Amino acid sequence: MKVTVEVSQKDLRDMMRFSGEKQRSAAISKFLTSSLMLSRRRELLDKFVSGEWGTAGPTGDEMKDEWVRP
Amino acid sequence: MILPDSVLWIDFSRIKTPVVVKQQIAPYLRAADTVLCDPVRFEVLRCERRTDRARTEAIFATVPLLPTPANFWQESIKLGQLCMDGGITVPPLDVMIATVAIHHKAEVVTFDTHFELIQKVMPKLQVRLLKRAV
Repeated sequence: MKVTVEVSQKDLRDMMRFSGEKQRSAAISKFLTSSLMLSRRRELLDKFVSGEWGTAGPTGDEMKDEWVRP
Repeated sequence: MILPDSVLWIDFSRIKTPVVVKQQIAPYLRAADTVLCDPVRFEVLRCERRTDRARTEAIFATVPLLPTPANFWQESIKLGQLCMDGGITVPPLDVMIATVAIHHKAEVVTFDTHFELIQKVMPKLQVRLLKRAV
């Protein structure tokens, strides 16, 4: 989907510099995607800390025997 | 770059892991420079129960995945043999995770002391060894 956004010259320059992208739209898109992924990740991780989400199965410590078995 | 070891992802997601341990792990999973690699992805997902897989996959989809080096298997063999020659026996998957971490200069964050042993024979491996909070 195409949208028109207002971005300052400085921000755009920095986005191209940090992303390594030559195209302005590719640089903005890359930044947006990585920022979105990070926000999504943090939101999902919070669900595990709060107890809303959780997986069954052994903990790392309980699996240690399996890992050291030759 | 921070490369959380499988044990961090596993402990973090488990229902029975104490909250204090989850809080200890959380900053390493929340960091902007946190990355994932295929051996960690494999180790976590291969033992995930059917009902839990979608959630773990959902989180993994938000973490940048380090490309597996083209010479991954050969480098893993070399590192494994280096461990063996140094009198160190470590699980094969730890050797594979270490291989990817060395290639990308990522720091492995773990509770697993095997990585410290690997570091003894391969000082290029960056390791941050944590002790579970009590």
